[in-house]
Amino acid sequence: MSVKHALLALLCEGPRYGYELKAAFEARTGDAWPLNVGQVYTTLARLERDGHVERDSEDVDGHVHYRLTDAGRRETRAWWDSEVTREAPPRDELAIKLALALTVPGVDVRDVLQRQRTATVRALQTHTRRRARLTSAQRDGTAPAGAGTTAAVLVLESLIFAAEAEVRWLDHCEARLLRTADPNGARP
Amino acid sequence: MTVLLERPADTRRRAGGTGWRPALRIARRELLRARARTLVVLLMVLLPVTGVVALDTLLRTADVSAVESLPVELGDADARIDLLPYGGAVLQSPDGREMGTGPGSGPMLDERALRAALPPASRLLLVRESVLPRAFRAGADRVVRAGAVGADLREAAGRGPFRLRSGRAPAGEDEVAVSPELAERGLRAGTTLTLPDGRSAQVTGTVSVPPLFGDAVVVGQPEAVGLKDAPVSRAYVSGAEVSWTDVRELNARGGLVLSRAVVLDPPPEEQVPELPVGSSVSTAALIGLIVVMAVLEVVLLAGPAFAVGARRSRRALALLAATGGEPRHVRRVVLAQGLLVGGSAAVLGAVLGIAVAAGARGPLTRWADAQWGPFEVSVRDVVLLALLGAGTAVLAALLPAHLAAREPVVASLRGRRPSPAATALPTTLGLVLFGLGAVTCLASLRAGSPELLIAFSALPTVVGAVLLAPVVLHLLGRRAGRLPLPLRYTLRDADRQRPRTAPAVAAVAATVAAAFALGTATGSDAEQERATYSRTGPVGAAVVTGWPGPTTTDWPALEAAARRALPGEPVRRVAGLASDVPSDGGTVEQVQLCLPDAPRRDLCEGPMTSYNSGLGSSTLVGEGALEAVAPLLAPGALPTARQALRTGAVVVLGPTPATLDVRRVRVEAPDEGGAASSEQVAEVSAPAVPVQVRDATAPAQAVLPDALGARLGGVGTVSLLVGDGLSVQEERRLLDQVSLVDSGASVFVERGARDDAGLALLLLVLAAGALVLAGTLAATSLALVEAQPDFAVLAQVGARPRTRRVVAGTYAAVLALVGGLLGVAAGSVPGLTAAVALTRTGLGVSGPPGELPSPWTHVEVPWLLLVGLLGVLPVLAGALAALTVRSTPASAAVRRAV
Amino acid sequence: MTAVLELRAATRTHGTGPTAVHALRGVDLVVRPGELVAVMGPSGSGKSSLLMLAGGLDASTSGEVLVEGVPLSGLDPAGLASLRRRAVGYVFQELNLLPALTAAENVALPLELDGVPGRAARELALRALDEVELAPAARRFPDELSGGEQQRVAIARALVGDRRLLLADEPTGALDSVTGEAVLELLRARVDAGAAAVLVTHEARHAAWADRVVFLRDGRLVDEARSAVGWTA
Repeated sequence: MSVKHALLALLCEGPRYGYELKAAFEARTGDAWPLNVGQVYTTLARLERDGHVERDSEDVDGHVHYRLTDAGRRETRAWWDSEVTREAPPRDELAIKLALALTVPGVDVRDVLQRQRTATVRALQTHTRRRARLTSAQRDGTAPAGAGTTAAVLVLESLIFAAEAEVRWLDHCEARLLRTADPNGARP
Repeated sequence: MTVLLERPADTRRRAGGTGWRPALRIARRELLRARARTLVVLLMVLLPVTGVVALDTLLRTADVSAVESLPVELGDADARIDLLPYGGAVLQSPDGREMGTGPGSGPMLDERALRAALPPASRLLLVRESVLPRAFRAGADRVVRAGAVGADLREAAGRGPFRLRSGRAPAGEDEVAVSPELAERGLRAGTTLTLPDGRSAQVTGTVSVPPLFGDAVVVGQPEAVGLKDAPVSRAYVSGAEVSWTDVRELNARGGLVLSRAVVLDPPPEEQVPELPVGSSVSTAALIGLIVVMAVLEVVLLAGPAFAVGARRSRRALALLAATGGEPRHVRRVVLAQGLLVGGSAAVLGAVLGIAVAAGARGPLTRWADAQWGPFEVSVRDVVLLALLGAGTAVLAALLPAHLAAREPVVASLRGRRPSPAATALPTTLGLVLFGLGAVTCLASLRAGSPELLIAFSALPTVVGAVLLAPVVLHLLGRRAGRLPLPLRYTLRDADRQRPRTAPAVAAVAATVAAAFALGTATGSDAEQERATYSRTGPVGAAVVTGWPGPTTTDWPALEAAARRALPGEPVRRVAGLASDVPSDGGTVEQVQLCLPDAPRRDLCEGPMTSYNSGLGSSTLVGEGALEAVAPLLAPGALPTARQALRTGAVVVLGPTPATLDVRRVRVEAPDEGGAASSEQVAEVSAPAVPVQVRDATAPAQAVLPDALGARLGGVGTVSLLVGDGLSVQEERRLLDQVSLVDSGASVFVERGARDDAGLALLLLVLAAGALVLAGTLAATSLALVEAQPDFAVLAQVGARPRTRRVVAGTYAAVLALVGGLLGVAAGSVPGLTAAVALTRTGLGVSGPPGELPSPWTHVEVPWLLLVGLLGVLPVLAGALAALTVRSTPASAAVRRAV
Repeated sequence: MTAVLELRAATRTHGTGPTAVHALRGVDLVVRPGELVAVMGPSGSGKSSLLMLAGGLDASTSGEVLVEGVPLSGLDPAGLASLRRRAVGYVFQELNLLPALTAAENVALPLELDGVPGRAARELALRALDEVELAPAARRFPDELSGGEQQRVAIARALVGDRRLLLADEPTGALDSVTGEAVLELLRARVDAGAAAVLVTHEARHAAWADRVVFLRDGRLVDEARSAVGWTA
């Protein structure tokens, strides 16, 4: 997850100050990944150092606005033009946990699986609800009906499908586990 | 929070009939969705209803009511009085169509008594009739046989029943009128008719004649038609109404009355005497049996269609249950289909039947040349028949509806197709009924006339077989393991789909049972007819006898008439011992063959118990007579017989001891006490030689040598043997000429045993075949429709399109064969029993079968019928099914199954 | 608040002895008005059996099933059928509708079976169809409706009149994911409007629409997921 590129992308729309950027990010991603303001300012400082952004004018409330430099514009362009790499996956704690549960004695793998499944489904429920609120608000007109809300819905759906994939994988693990425990696979 | 299950009743439950409306709606749409199936069921009900309604309407129309018949029967007369020839009181219905004899006996009603019993103002037209048709010679060589009616038409012409159609009324003793039928045959005014007694009369015109006198009638003064001495047989009354009181008065004196006034205004019920009831009970019972069998057949044929409908909409019915439908709701959806199809078919059939009858009326009356009443539709009958038709359809839907309501909802929702378990109850019930029917059937032989009992015992047998159909299919399905695929698939599927296949098999079984039973019975009857038929003379030759007896017959005149009629044909006289049958109850001469040492009583014991006397006498005389019966003798017997006659021995056409006594006896008519006295005229003892005949009964008891005949006396010509291989036309010509000489003479041409059974069996096979084919093909096509998913699977695994054909053919053949076997089993018991009963009663012998002499019960299993029912029909059904089925491409089969 | 559906140690066993199959073993479950409960579990875990028991299509071997507080074991088949007409509605994966009836007639069916006069039944059915936004399709036959529309009609039928318990067995199984989501959203809306529903599914994404997700394994309830975030904001 690149907060750096997300902020650069948001600044493409025009100069913004720090808190404004945090709110825009969260709105676009459906509150899926809350940012703290400190992280925003640290990143902005790093971007300014690398010459991707520069300070703009201050408004009446004293908020410092940042805007994109030409270098920053090039960096953003390069980001859009590259794909998100998937070949070297980040270490997945869950997969490691299950692998160990299988080999370490005294652990009921099915319990581990079920606990995880419940947790993932709970997360799934939360994502589903957020999305439902967004879509219904969009329908009722209480949320801005622009591309921004749709973007948030899409992000939430990415999480939903990811979580669903995880539940499906857990189901698969359990089925395989049962098959291995019972070579005939003759469970009802 | 409201508890939903305890709502106030009045807001939800309307009085009665909840759920019929949606059921009818679903049923209607389901029927429209499955058009082909609906049409098949519709026709199954529609066609019988149409046929029976048309028949009923035609019969009602053909049936001329008493009121409708008045113009024809009476013309403008007020009444007709039939003077019954035996005297005594009469009981009659107001319309004069039914009568019985009343108590007491009295003198015959004569003209004087008649006038006394009638209102004074009435005028009478007296009618005399000839008993037998008479031969009239018209012109030079035409002979017309017609009834003679003597009535004075001078006064009555233009009135009463004899209305002048053309020409003028006959006036004198040498003038007659003829009926329109004779006029059409060329007897126009001016033709001269010669009466049997030689007098002649001229035709003056045509008069209409009431049908009771016949079609061909010559009317004139009694003298003109030779009825001068005949008694008055009827009288027509004009000029005064004849009341019911008058009718009863005339009844008491022996007159049967048709009165216009009484027919138009019938007396109240309590004034009508009770008439002895005829035996219409057994007819009604038989009609009832036929109706039951027809309904059973339709139910069995239409039932599978409803079963398939219920099967096809299984999921829908299960959803109905999931939505809160109770089993009765599910049942109603299927029943409503029966109600809708049956109702529409019944209404359509009734309308169509009436239309058919209306259309057929004209051509039929022309074809039958009959006087029919006005077009008449019995609303009561039509409504009853329509209700019966609709009821039959509902009945057919009853079992499928019951089964559909019992389907396990959960399994149906999950799309499983469970195989029904073989339930013990129908099987047990089937066995019990089958056994009951068989036992009743066999036991019925102890009854005097068991036909009706056998017919009714066939019903439980057939119903039993119907109930056994599922278990038979189940047993076959379980033993299909090692058979080739089409056969194995068929038997397994037929087992699995028993609610549909069992009725079809049962329908085939019922049809085959009826056909086989009838075939066995008629076949045996015909076999007995053939085996026991006894010819009275040589086949193809005419036996001419005079009337009243040989001694009073003018043989030379008859012989001349025969030669005139058939020039070139041989005419031989047959000699025998004449025994006149007197018409006045006088004495009779008898010839008896007696065993030696027989006691000298009126009737001695002879060597033979039965023989004919079709050649004019039972005791023939001379070699000429022997030659006449020669073709009827057993092969090789003729030389023996000739030899015997030459040596002076009696040729007995049957078993005999070596010597016999031949007696001529004169028997007096029995007196009031019933005792007959007899007087022996002559007796001769002679050696006797037995000669076998081909038939069961000999044409005579014996042929005597001439010398022996002379010693007994009374030998003369007893008949003429004319021609050889005569046609029906030649027979008619002979009769015409002979009648001119002797109006009572008879001409009989022996034509041998008639073989109607072959035709009857053929018709039976055709009718049964049509029903069996209809049943099996319907069931097979329904099976194929439902086997769609199976064919999809077969197609997926690479079965050839031909497989579908093979399976279809096998399916039809198996259903026909299984049904046929079951039917033969069910039909054999009543069939064989009826065969025994029929051939036994044919002899007039009754008693338990074991006590009968074996040659007298002819039980003939109709092997040809059996081959047809069990061999040809299944093959035909299979071939038809295989040819008519579409071998759907695999992709289509898969698509359709999804 | 009274439970619309309550299972108390509900057990369903098919067959007896060594060949006995335990579809459900002692399941306890309470579903209240305004609650959507999803049931998840692998094939053969007893999901569908639970649904059949809940609507009285099948009877529990032991334990008790109560609908609107009425124990089903005390009802005869006619009583159970009446229950399905008045309190419970089913929605299956597909082919929920009688092909012979129009959409409105399908919805009116349970009412008509219950003896509600034709006009009143039709009005209620139209209202129910309106609630699933299908009023214009009232006169169409099932084969003239899309899969999603058919399922929406089925939901309308399941909840027509005063019925409050909807039992759905993979109602979106035959639909594409967007159409399926729409159907679930509708289901959710009906529950939010006061109905109670049990949703049997093996797809977590669909189960996530529920207030609670219960997990069945070998006929037993093994866990329950309940989101921290509530449905009504």
